[in-house]
Amino acid sequence: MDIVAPVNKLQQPCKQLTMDIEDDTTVFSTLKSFKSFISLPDTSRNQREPAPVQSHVLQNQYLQRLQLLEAAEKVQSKTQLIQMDQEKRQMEISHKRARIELEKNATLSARDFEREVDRNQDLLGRIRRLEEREAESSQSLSEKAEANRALHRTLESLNRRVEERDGWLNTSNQTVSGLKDEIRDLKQQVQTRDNTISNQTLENQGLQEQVELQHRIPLKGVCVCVSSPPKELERKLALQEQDVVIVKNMRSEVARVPDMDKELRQLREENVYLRETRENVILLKEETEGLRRKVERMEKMKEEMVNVELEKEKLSQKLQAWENLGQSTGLNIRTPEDLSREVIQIQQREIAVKQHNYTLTSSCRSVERSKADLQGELLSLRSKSLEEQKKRETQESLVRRLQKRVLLLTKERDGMRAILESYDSELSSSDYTPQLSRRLREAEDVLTKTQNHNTEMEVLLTKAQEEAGALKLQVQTVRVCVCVCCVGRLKIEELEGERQRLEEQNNVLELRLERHNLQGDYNPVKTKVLHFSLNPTSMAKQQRVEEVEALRAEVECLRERLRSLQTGGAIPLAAAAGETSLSLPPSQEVLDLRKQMETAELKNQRLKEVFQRKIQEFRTVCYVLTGYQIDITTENQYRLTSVYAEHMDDSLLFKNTGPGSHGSMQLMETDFSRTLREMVDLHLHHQKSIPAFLSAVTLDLFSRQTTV
Amino acid sequence: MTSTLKGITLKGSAELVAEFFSFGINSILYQRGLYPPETFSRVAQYDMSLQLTTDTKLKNYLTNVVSQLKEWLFDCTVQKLVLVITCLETSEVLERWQFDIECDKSAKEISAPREKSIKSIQDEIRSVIRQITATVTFLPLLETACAFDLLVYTDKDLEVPDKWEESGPQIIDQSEEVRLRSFTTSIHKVNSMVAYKRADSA
Repeated sequence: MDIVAPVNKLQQPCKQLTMDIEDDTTVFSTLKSFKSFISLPDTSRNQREPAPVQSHVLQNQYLQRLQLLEAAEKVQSKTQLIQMDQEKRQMEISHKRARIELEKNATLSARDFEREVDRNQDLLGRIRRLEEREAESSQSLSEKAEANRALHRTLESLNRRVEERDGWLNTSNQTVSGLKDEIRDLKQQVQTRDNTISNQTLENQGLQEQVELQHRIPLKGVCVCVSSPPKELERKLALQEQDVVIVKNMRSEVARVPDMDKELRQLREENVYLRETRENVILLKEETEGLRRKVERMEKMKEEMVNVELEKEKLSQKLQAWENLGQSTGLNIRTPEDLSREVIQIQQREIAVKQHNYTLTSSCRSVERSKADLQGELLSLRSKSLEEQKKRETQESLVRRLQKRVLLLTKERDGMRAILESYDSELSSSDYTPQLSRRLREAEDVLTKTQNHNTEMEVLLTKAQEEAGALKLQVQTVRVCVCVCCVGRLKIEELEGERQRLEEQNNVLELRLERHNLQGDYNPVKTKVLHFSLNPTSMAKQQRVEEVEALRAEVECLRERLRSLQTGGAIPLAAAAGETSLSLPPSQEVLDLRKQMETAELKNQRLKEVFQRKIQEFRTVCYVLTGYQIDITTENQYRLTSVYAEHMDDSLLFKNTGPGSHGSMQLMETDFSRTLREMVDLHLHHQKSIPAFLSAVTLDLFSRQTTV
Repeated sequence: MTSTLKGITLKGSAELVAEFFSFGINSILYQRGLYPPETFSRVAQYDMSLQLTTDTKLKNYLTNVVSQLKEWLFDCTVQKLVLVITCLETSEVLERWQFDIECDKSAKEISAPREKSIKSIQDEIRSVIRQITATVTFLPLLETACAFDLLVYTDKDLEVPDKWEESGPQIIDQSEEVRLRSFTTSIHKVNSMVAYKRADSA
């Protein structure tokens, strides 16, 4: 618009020109104006004094244009600043988000690390405990091994003793059996000897009888027979003596038998003792077996301990490696927190670097954009400058032409002045002719010069006219062009504005399209979306729905049960027990309370029974001892019926009138009491003793009964 | 296959891209914790060790999808592959991993293999997978139980195969998007991006 403004101002003189185009005076007026401009003093030639309003206006316009440009630049810079601020804010937000996420990650990793550390410590504690246990077990193992060894030794000694005793036993058994055999043999022998002795005694007797017989028979014929029997008898005597000796030996041997019996008994006792020791040995062997098994277990535990030690070493190595991280990475890391801190620092540095990167790229982009803008501006400015240059050149050429004309005119002026001076000087002188001729010549020269000048001027004039005409045409065309240009420029500018808007819209739409494309939008005319029917999402949803249904059914069932439990007691439970597997078992508290209730009820009942029994007992005792059955009819009224009452209805009524149950009784009037008026007067009114009255009544009734 | 020393054919490129998707999806499932880490086993691929699931159901599902995807890649009818992570409780979409596929259709007519070394493709794939692993540092935690789904954006006129059905795009409401690296086999170009639900809008 700034370019248009000065052009508008130019339009005005052009309009003047066009309006007065038929009037030639206007042309001259402009020429006059030029001449007047030229006729101004020479000193002012150098000054480019602003011609009338137009150049002043142009400069103002130029200044205004500069100001507007500056304002536009300011606005542009402000918009850029706002954009930068927005971008900065977005960056800050994204930076915060990233920081939060990284912090979360860092905390998660720190927590994991802490957990690992805790686990590590737990493992170390366990290892220590296992080590302690292992030491204890090894101690016990050693003790048990020693006990085992001692037991082994005792066992061996006992075994040896047992073997010895067994040997002894065997030998003794053998001797015993041998001795038994001997005894049997001896007994047999004794028996046989006894038999022989008895036979011999019988024979002796026989022989003695024979001897006697023979003594009776004459001895004559006996000598021979006697001689032979004495020999036989001597033989028999010898045999008998031998037998006697044998019998004595036998008796001595038999005398040894009790000793043998004693020895036998002793051996049997030793046998029994050895059998006991054998049992002990068996027990000890079992114990040793048990100990051996324990020893095996201990050995297994040792192996396990070895493994645990290996694991411990590995863990300690790992720990060391973790601890050495600090040394290996060259950072000051001793605890996992330091490591997490380092990690966080590194991440923060990374974030800062990324930030810097983004800022750099954004600044780069903005710089590129500004560069593009500046280039456009530069092109436009260059074109403008070219136009200005052309204008300036035309102006300069005009100026040169005008200068030339000025020179010519000054020369003419000088010449005229000289002529005039000469004329003036020649007025005073007398001789004219040479002067005249000289003047004539000069005049002729001047005339020719002027004629030349005239022709030149005419030429110039024609040229100027032509130029003026051309200028007019130009002006017309320029005006037309300017109008067209104005219109065209307006249109161009409008179109440029529209183009920029459309470009921006285009960019925005492209961004949106890109965004939609990123989000997954599609053109339904050209594209369609397919997926597999049995996809994991649908299957998971189905499973979820089924789970939810099952859970709802369960919840409903549980609610109903709760309601029934809250309202009823045991009855709904019995009803619910007939339900499906969703019924809950009654809680432990309920069962305990029920049991308590039952026991309490039982107790109650038993107490009642006991009380009942006792009361009954007491009442019967009272009845029997005092002779009165006491019944409580109503509150504070007691009816006494005697044992010896004649009629069932004979009873005395007493009322408790005192405060509480302090026993100040009063006798009420009954039929029976009317019959006892005398006793009432005597015992109650005079003696004021109810027991006396009662006993008197009893005695009276008893006497009546017994007499009857 | 792509073992031809000369270059990459359409078929070979389809296989490479399908293989990348298989490993990429497994990596994402492992990194985001959608399945327990003990159900994954390490394998070596692209000169790095990646995690592959051993769950049979999941494996079957992935094999079905990836084999179908390979066919579509060969026909150049697939435009995008999207891995959508949904929260089971609220049925909200929490994350969207989108892979745009640009196919050079001229490779269908001209069957001459293109010159691009497999090593350079593998390097590009490796950097993409590394970046996927690195994005986990700024993605918000998935605290609730989640499940995933694979969506395929195809041409409209494509015949829907058996066991597949149409579905919505499952776009995240109020999301932040991050564009990741891309790789190209000179026939297929795969651009990766991830969109996640903004944490403060939850």
